[in-house]
Amino acid sequence: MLSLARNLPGVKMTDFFLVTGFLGAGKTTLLKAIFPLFHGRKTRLIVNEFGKVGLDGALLRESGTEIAEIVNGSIFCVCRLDQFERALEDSIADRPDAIIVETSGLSDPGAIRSILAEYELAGLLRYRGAICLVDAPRFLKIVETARACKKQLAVADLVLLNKCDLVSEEACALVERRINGLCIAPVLRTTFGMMTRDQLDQLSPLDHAAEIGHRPDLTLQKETIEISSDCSSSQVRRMLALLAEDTYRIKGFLELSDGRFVADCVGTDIRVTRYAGQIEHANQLTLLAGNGIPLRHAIRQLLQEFSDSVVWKKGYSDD
Amino acid sequence: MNRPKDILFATLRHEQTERAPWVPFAGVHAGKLIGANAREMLTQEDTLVKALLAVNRLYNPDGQPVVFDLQLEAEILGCELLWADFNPPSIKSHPLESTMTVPCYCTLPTQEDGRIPMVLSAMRRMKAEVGETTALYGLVCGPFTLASHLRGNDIFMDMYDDEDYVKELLAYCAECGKRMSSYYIEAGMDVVAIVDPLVSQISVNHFTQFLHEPFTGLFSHIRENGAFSSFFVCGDATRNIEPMCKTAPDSISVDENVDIVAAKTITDRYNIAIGGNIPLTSVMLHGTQQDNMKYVVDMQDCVCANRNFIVSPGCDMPYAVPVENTIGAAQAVLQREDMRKMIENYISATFDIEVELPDYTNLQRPLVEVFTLDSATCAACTYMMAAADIAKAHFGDAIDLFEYKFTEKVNIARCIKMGVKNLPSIYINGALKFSSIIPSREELQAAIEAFLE
Repeated sequence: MLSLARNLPGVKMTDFFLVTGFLGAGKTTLLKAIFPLFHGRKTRLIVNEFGKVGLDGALLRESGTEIAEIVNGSIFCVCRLDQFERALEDSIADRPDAIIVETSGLSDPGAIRSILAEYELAGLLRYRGAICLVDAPRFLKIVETARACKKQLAVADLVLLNKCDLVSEEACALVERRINGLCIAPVLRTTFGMMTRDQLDQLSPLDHAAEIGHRPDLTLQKETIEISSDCSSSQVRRMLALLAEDTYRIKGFLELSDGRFVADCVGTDIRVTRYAGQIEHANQLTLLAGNGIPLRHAIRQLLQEFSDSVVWKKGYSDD
Repeated sequence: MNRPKDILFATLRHEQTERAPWVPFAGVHAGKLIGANAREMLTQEDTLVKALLAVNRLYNPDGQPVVFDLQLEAEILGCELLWADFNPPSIKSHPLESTMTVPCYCTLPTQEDGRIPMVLSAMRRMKAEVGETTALYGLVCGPFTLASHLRGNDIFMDMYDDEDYVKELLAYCAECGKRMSSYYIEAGMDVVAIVDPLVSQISVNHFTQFLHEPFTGLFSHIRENGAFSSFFVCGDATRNIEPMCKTAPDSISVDENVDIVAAKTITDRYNIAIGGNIPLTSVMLHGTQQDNMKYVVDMQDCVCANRNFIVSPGCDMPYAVPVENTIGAAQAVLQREDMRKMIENYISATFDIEVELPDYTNLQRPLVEVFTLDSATCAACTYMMAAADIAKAHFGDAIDLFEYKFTEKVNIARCIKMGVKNLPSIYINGALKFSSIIPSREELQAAIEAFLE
């Protein structure tokens, strides 16, 4: 892994930023908001599959940012650490000023420091810290069921309490108190993922040794269903309405009777929008859920109602 | 066949031997030999190795396990443990209790996780110290017991409500077993035992439907990796002996709940070795040295002990088994004829204790009595007791609930007086209701409600 250090003696240090946050917290919005802060600096962005959906290509080009994508799994889920390391090596080889990694909403970023440690020791990277986005309106509900949410806070160096304009001052204070009980990072209130240049410059890693646990979260649920291409987008919306309540997120690209679409739902916020790009793994929807959520039951109900149009793709492996 | 372990290997190859091999299952009991408690034994490598060497020196085994802890894998997978000084830890929480899902395979234990590095290092040291003469056993938590640790008592309802889910979860747990087997074989273990006490708590149909495939795959994996295999079960597994044979292990090990003479007629038909079944408490813990000698001599006389037979305790030996009792059992294997002469006129008086039973015909409320080996140590008993506790939480003061642990001498006398034949079992108002099959929540509630009407 450290062949780079040997091949590139005296290579300049790259600032490494981690952006975490539960599904729907506003990570993509944050990225859009902070790109201007990197203006004039060569920046590489590593995102999870589908993470790039919603990112403005022109905005990326303008800020000189190139994007690498981790497919088929979460960044920092043990399964795809190999892909993350490859993407990281590729990015470092490009000698950027900064690397920003956006993790998937269900990922446990606790493993990151051990991966980065070798690059830091080799003088290739300087870890600047993890910015954890928190969705103010939904946080108190999510934190009770999603272990990933607590893990992300445990390794955060800065918490951005986002969407504060959507809740009362009292509710915001309640959320902030709960966050303070779960992590040692300072909490900044914001809207639309906004942060200032000063806030970014002041970011530095805290000592999280006491907070990082190593037990895997067995309650993360990931299932895949395949939708028939004979279906229309309105039928798919009806299907998603049956499932959405029992998921954290549904995502996938669709080649349907009335065109090409991308489905990207967070909780009960169902979005099926037209899509012009190329599609791989068409019509396979990935469903994500967590502790205590009856996802299997919801899929069974869907199959009963749409038996001719939906197939439950089972099978587990670490591929 | 000069080395002790060769006798065991010959038995596992189903050959005729000059005597039966002797494999004392000294798990936490090994700690007693050096004054260490259970937690020290199961977490400190030097303590573990020192205790295992004491077992090797004192008990002259042909084979011995390195670690007997069915919670090792579950701990890594997120189950919280409750540690005790004189028992292996028990499971305090079940990560999948309220979430019906099959975890990602990336969560399966690696050689770096939990206590595995300590165990593997102890295995390598034991291999170097005694491996030339003694066969070493690596013990792996069986898929059904591991699935129960992860999912809790609901697994018994899942087998009716969502068969596919149970199969998928068992496939995950079996993969865990394969990986653990590979780690242990690589560390020098000669025999890998898949220990699945809860197998005794399900029907033949459920065994065939859910367990045949994962167990067959596990034993095939162990064989392909060059080690011998064993299928450990405890509780009344009588009905499942034949289905167990069909999964093709090299040997099967049973406890005192199983009539080993009858069981051996089945295992012989499949040419599989059987091991057992010195009673853990009534003989090893509370009996005298002569009780142990007599039991082991008599047992060997009753079966064809020179082929496909291994003398061993029924399961993991209780911590406090007197050392002289295990030595007595060992002598009855190693010097069988001498010991036979020594105890030919011996009559045991160990359990001549007066016990008063409740007046079952005049109870104020239904009385639920759970007879266990010990719900803190025996997994089958843990889940049977948990089922009773759930019922107690439901009915509250409307019923009385008691557990009688077979580890206490007075409770053995109570079992004898009540005619309790199998453990664990549940009696309601003195009548046997569930024997070695863990009832679902609904089944147990219905049985109790019949006494409330």
